[in-house]
Amino acid sequence: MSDRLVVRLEVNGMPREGLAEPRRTLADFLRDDLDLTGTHVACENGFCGNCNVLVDGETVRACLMFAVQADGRAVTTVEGLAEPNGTLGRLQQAFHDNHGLQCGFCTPAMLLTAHEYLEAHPDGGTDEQIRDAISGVICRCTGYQHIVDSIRAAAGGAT
Amino acid sequence: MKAAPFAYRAPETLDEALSLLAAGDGACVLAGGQSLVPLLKARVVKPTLVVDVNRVPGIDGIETEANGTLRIGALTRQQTLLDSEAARARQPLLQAAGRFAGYLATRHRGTVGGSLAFAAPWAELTAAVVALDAQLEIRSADGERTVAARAFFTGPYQTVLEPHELLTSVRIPAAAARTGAGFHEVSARYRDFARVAAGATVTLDDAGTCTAAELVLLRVASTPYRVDVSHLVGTSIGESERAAVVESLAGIEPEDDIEVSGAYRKRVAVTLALRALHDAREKASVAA
Amino acid sequence: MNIAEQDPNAAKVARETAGTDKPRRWLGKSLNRVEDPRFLRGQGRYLDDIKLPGMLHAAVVGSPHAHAKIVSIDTSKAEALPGVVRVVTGKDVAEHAAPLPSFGAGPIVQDMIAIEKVRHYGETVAAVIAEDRYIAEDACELIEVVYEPLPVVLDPVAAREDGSAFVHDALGTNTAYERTFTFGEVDQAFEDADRSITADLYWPRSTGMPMDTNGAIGDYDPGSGVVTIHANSMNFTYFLWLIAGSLKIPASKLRLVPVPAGGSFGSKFFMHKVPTFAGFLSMLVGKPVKYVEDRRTHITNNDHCGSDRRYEASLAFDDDGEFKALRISCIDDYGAYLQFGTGTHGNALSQIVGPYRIQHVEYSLAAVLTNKNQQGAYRGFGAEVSNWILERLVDMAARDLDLDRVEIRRRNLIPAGSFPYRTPTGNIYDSGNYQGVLAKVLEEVDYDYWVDYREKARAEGRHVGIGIVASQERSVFSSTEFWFWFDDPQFTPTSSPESASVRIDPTGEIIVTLHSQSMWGNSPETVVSQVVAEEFDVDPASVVVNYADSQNALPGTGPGGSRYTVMVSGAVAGAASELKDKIRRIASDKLEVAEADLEFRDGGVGVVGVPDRHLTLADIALTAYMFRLDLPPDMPSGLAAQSTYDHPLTTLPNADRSDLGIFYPFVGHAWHIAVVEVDAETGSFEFLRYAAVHDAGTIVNPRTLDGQVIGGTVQGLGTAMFEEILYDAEGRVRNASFEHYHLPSSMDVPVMTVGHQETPSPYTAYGIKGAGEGGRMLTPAIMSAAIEDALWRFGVTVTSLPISAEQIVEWASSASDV
Repeated sequence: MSDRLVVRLEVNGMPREGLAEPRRTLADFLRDDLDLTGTHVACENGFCGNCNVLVDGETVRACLMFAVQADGRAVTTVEGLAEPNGTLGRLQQAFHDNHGLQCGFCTPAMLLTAHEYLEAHPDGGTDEQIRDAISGVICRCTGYQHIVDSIRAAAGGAT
Repeated sequence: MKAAPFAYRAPETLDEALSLLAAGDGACVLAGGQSLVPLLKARVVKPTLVVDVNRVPGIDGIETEANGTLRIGALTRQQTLLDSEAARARQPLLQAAGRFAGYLATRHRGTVGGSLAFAAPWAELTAAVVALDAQLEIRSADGERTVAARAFFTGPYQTVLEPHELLTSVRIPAAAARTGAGFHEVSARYRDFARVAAGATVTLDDAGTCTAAELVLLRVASTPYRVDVSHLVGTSIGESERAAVVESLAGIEPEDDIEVSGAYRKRVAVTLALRALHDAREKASVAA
Repeated sequence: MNIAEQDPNAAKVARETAGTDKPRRWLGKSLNRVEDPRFLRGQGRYLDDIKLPGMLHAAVVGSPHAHAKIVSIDTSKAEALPGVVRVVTGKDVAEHAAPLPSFGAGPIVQDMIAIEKVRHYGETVAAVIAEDRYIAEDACELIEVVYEPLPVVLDPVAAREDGSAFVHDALGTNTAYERTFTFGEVDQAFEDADRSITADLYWPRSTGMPMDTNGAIGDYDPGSGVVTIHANSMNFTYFLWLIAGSLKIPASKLRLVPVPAGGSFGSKFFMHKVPTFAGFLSMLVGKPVKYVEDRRTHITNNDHCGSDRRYEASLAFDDDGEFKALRISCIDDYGAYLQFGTGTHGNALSQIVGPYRIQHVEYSLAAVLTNKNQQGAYRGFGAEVSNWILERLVDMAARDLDLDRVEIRRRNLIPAGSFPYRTPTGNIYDSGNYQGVLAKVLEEVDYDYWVDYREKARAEGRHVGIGIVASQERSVFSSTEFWFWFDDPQFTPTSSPESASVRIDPTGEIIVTLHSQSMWGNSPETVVSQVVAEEFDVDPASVVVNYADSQNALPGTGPGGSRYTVMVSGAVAGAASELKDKIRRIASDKLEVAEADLEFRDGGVGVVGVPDRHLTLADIALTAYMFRLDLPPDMPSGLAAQSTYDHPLTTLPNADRSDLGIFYPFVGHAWHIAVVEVDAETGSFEFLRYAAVHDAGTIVNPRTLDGQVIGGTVQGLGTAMFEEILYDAEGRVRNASFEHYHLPSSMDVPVMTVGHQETPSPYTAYGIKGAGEGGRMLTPAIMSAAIEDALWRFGVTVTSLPISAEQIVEWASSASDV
């Protein structure tokens, strides 16, 4: 084991702090040290994108970033998408209304990836663009069609 | 799948980074991490010290020099390159190739320099810098040197870069007017690692005659493979190029791997090369 | 068909829930899933999200050899690492545990950690329990294992020959099972037929590959002696006592807590090894221990690969296209162990003739052991493989006769009106209207337009192809399929029940407890809510659904074989019926009307035709719980009922197994049409059109059914075009990550239209049939047909999967080289 370093960052708008060995991934840090278990790890190698979170507003693979690298950065996880009282955000509601999830495991990453996409394409763009945007997140359940429907439905307003 | 322990430094100056690299064996550079971190987690790579250069100032960003040359900092994120107006205007092959590199979330972290220094045989940007005759600027505690991209790659995952050196920037001469680019690639699925790829640039004069052309293939040889297409200069590049491309590949023997055979690579390389040239010519013909 | 064979309770449920002229209010609606919100908020609480106080973490050392003797294991360096609590090897298993459960025959023993030898690459040889997973993995690197490599058995054909090494020495052969079943006069039918075609076909080893790997937390309480295991396994009540046996504890000392799974697709069906392992580790150290497979271990050691089969298959038919007989011979590469016996072939035999009037069938199976991962379940459980075989043969017959591929199928479809239809194996198809589904899919895609389009494209030199295939979708297995293989089986269960408890609390809230699973991507809570809403006419969103742990569970079997929606609906309907009787009696007293004049409406009970004469469920519940003296004298307090619903229609096989009995009788039906364009120069392809029409009986929720169809179709696309577990010559898995095991992305899949026809089952609650696997049963066949059609000018016949880009280029180039 090597020395642990202090990591100070903002998560979902709140200042958070923890100690992490340099080798500790951001995904493990969020899940195990900050108890934000909505970020899911599936392949551990950056291929499946199920661990995507937003760092300073951009999607990154949380399994390929070390927690110490997030020091001083602002991270958004799925836990930051709903209203504080638990009410689903517009994008989450669109997934609910369009059956955009089955087992729900990739869903946090899909939501954050879709969130980033809709920030850049508020009108929703084309289905091809939506499919391209989520192509780096593997869903094994849905065949993607209802996810695309969900993202299209969410377009046109704040997510 | 957890990385073995390592010491970690995140220097905030270039000199500090270079002195850490100079200090001894077993240090490795962490930039975007999209290729390195999986190797750390598989414990295939076990550095004693990881030098995280993400906080080093002055080695990222894209500038245009007075003569139009693009200077791309090694730490420039791949997505920044894709979004760059300067890159789009000056050298279209960079974006034509770069859009095949991974996904938005990996391009947000993955760097231009990291992709070149890692030198994966499927890395699209390696083909682009070879085609564009880029100059790679390398720094170390001892000084600096510049290496042509065409001399930089020595094999799969191998370059002339010494362990104590850091690639700091890439200089790419601007394309002439009426230059177009094409890039074609096949992979197992959308945006998987390339099984074969081809990148081309074509420059036309006002009459539509080719004045310059470059063609580089990936995964047919141990490094990005530059195909001599000088015979296209002075022609209008018709559909009759297949024979010439086939001939120029006559001597190469691509290797088999887990996914496809060398024979497939060789055959498909011809198709992709022709498609890349075709696209490049089309783009050039409509370029201002 | 003798309806008396139907289970009497199930018959009552079927009668009471059969459709009437009155439209259903809640079943059949595309309601939002009640499961969704917690998952959308990232609060799904999957296995790896759970933290128990004092919890330790385990990692494993997998064998680098496919077949080797374990000579010695030196754990001293690992044990010396700070943070390591205990290193565990096969020695501990031999001392303290019993082998893992198996439905296979013979002396094929599997332990949770290999004891004397390893039989496949990645098999566990040691485990480390440590304070965190990082340290556990550090310690795994320090364990020194000396192996003596043994000859590796990889080719299932060579494995059957004299001189091959044995995977299990005690068995004395690598052929664990071999038998030929004959149904009808097969030889005669082949002799009498005008024609026949024969093909060698290969189906590759792929796997369900859920995003969430298998995991469990063992939590041994030394005080009570109870081992609590949190696991993302399915079906836990069905085999709880088997896990207890492996742990050498009474089943009463074992408590399994179901945890949501991030996908199963079969990979968590009867998943026993990981929970048993976690329980065992916890017992050794007296603390909670979490073990979650990493992706690499999931691929190399998950025990749940799909089928890996070599076939020789023949179809006899007449010049007019009428099918006469089917002969199938299969060598199935089961890998190193045989946990489910040959059950995946029972699945095949349930619908071996597809939707066609084939009267004579011969089926030979050799189940061969090799040094590879053990087979498990994968969506379709073997029926997807047999459907591919059958539809391949049908396409080949059409070509042989130069007959249109739709027409040859149409001529052989079982006619509407012949149901229940007894197939040659003895299984029945309960109901159907296959001609209706075909007509609907042809209309849906404008088939003639696409035929015309294809011809024009071909004239331009493009490679456009159409695939059109059909499939049955059997649902609701009976446990007879686990043993009818054997002449003299040791254990012959006939039960596969499902239970539900329904209670209405004193405030009128309806609470349903399920007894065999947690949510894993299906929609158990939504299904139950819709059924409850239908019965009581309440808002489905108001229904509370929870899950019993094993110590509080009633008999249950869990999801698998597309059984859960059918079975849980039956169980809930049964319990609801009992509760409704009681509510009617109370309401009849209170409203002073005859029970026959009452109806369930608007969240309560009211007098038919009198809108203001109405009691809410809360009114009735308060009386039931708190006012005993207002109740009829023979009525106990409370409003609770539980129901155990047995398989509605199953019979025993006969002694010589010329009749396997009824074991998979609720049979859906589907047709898919795909139009693809192939780039013959690179081997890539794209979809121009994809349409599916399914008949899954009465539909509970059209949108979630669409989700199952689309998701299953895309998984089948993976099997057809992208996925295969690859072994090198030494038996090492070559693609134990997603770098080379390619799951379809959003850009690789078709945009589909999904249509439905509803032919209710006469035997199940509401007429529902299972529908969780159908999509995957068709895609391998349709991709084979479509790619083959696109490459027609090269004379291609697809006989193995996946259809690789390289194969396509090879076909196209060798033909053009000629």
